[in-house]
Amino acid sequence: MKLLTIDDSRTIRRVISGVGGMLGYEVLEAENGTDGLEVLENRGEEVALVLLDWNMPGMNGLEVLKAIKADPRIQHIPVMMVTTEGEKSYIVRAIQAGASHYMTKPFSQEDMAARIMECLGMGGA
Amino acid sequence: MKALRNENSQKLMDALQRTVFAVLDTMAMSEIEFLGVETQRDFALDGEANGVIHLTGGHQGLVGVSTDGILAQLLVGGITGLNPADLTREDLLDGMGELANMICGGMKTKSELGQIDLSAPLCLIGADCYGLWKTEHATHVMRFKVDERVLKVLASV
Repeated sequence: MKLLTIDDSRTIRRVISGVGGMLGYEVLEAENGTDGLEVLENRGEEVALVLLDWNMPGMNGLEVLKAIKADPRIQHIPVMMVTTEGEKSYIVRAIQAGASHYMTKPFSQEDMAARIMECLGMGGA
Repeated sequence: MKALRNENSQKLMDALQRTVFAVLDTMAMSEIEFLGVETQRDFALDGEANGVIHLTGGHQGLVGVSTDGILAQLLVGGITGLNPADLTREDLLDGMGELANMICGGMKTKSELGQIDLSAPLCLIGADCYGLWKTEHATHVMRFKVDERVLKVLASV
């Protein structure tokens, strides 16, 4: 299974790819919401977790999240928001729209690894 | 109205200073020290690596980061976990924008002002880079010592 990071920042995509690689996952990358949805449409069955930015040109992360959760083919894939937006109102909106987890930037690679494991149901007790 | 703006500006400045420490700490940068703040008329970027975010919505303004090329490499290396010497110009451009984005996001959250939107970052890199943005309000320039080098955080809020 693979991870999919949707983020306009190549810096963040590289961080997530590095962490995913350390955990043994191949990481697919998309630099905007439209491309991310296309990846899910074509390769959704391979994706175990989507890591989704909020502020991106074009579709924002919340719009992408709603599109994922509205599509019966991919709505089962867990989505973790990875964003600089840390206000409660943003977190509530994301959770209400179906996000499984919410992580604010910046983060350490250790924290990201732990959160990915948790999202995939492999976190420690 | 002016008193409210001044009060919100102070909240943003306080939040900004705390956020810079938090961001650098997460990136495992050592020897972080606040050197002080000065005020200047315009929003001037004169470092070799710079990133700027425009605040819109309930409170408008500009926030930027500016530093020399070596510290930029260390900072972006700290974000990515990559060897600073291996970073390309594109890495530094994107990384400085992401650093500005992280700092603004944290400032926005910590200020608890709400209703502030962040633009996509503007990034500038170059040995003789100099940018000037004529702003309505004065610019506060915070200086932080990071690994014996200086990171400037500019805020016209």
